Amino acid sequence: MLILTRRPGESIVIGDVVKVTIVGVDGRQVRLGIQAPGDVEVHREEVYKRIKEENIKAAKSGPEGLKKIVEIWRKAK
Amino acid sequence: MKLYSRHFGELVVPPEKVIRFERGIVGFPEYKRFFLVDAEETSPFLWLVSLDEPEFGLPLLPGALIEGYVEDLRPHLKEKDGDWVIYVVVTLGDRPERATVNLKGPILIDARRRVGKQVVVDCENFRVAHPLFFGPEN
Repeated sequence: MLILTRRPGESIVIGDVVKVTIVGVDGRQVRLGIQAPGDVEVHREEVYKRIKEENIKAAKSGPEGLKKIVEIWRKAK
Repeated sequence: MKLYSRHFGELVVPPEKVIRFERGIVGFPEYKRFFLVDAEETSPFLWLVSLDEPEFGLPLLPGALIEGYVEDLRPHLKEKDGDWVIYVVVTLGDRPERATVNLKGPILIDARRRVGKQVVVDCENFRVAHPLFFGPEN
């Protein structure tokens, strides 16, 4: 992993299109500003991971399980 | 195209029904082509089945059926163009009564352009496992 030291207000550029700026540092928190084109997805890692885990869980279900949910749904409506 | 899935049986997919997910699904970037199985017996739920791996399918529910969701979500979406229909992924879990929907990672499908994507909504108001049958207090 490349490790760089930056001060608030300084930036790094990734490729030609992504720019990450250190906006501020407050104790153990660092605020980053990220400039990237619309087709580059930028996410907090833990949010991305959580959705991945949920997809894995959701993909485990089969038509049998869904049948029961359809029943409950139709009863409730 | 015709394919067989243990889960879904024989699937006959007309070429015009293939939906392309350029980036795949979060965690599954290798699955690019999907088919929406919209069957009477599971309505209003659908299956989003991968044509690259027919055993991989996600149960979906139209986001419009979750009260207030689409209205709340729209301002957070970059996708303003096209005819994007919003779906949420359903996690069945151990007990059907405790099924949840993922409000943070909705699936958007533009059937006319035959493209789809899963977006990550980085906002605390949307939960990854939101109860389907009970209020948010459960």
